[in-house]
Amino acid sequence: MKKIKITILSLVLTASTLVAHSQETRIKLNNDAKKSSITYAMNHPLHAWTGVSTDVSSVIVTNEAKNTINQVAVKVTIASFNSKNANRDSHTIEVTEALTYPSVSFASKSIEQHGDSLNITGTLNFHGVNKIISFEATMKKANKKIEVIGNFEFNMTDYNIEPPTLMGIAADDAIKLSFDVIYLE
Amino acid sequence: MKTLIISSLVIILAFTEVKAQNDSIPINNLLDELSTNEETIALLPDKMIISQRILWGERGMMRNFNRFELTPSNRQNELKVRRFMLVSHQALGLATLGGMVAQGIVGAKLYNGATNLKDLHETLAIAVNTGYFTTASLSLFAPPKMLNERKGYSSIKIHKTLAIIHLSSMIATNILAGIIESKPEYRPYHRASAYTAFGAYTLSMIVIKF
Repeated sequence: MKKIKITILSLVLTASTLVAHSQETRIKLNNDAKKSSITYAMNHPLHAWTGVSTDVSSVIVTNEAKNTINQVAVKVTIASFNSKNANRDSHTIEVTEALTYPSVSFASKSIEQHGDSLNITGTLNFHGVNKIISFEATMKKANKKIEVIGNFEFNMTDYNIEPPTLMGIAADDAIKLSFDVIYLE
Repeated sequence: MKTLIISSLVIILAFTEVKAQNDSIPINNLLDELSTNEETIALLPDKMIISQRILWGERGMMRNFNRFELTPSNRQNELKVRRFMLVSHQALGLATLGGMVAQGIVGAKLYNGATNLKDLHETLAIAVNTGYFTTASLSLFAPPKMLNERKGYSSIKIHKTLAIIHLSSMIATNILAGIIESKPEYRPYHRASAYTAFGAYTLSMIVIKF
């Protein structure tokens, strides 16, 4: 009877220790703003272009023990995208009503991880509209840094944005977004 | 005894479950932690052309109207006005290019002796001038863009440089048109000036493609 009691007590203690340990390994990491970027690519029948923002703010929650990313949140201001054409960037601010909705953000709901591959599902908030999206990403871990790279595509009209026009011709509805975000451990 | 073991296991499982539920941070809290420079967006660029500064600068004439007071929501509407003016600039600019092509054909025939086309040439000149200067005005007096010019070359910078050339040439063409009434020997200069305006104007439209 005494042995059983000791065994049960040990089990409870072990479980408590495991829980405490796993709580310790949950770490929040912020991105390295100088080395992180988000790029959008758009297409118009007359030309294609890209805009890059290095004003990316992001945080991930990792599980050190399992070497996984549990959560991610990202925010970027629309005015920070540079397509090397101030008129075009200004037009972007206008069509996205960036003075009312200054930033675009993403917050994960779930992350499935298989090795370095991530399948991320979450809410993309753009132009004041929330949509659930899913996309693939890859994670590289080296030199106390975690780099997350990926891309996804969405349509402007899904977020109540009218595609901009040039010479009376509208740009393609699709925006291709790619990201390269580095988190410091 | 069995009950004791089962109870203990249930406690352990419950403990683990509670831990699992507490493992994630509310995602909105994570988002709220993120800082961006969204508060620092300036409503006007540092530099703008003189016509825009007079109308739309911080103390521009349009700022006297309540609707155009410099606030983020008014500026948002102002950008829509800008877009309307620039879309009209593109449409009218394209129509004016058609007028210039017609004028070039008529002008060349007139230059080669078809004097019966003089009235048509003058009528076309009025149409092209009206289209051209209205097109220019739609750009010159549009509310300014949000951002300062980017470093390096861009299609819009080349477009603006070419605009200086074709605007100067258009003015010269009109002045020379008046002069050749009394001094026909200036006709080649009038023609050269008109061709320069047409060439720079066409290029300025093509360059937007890139």
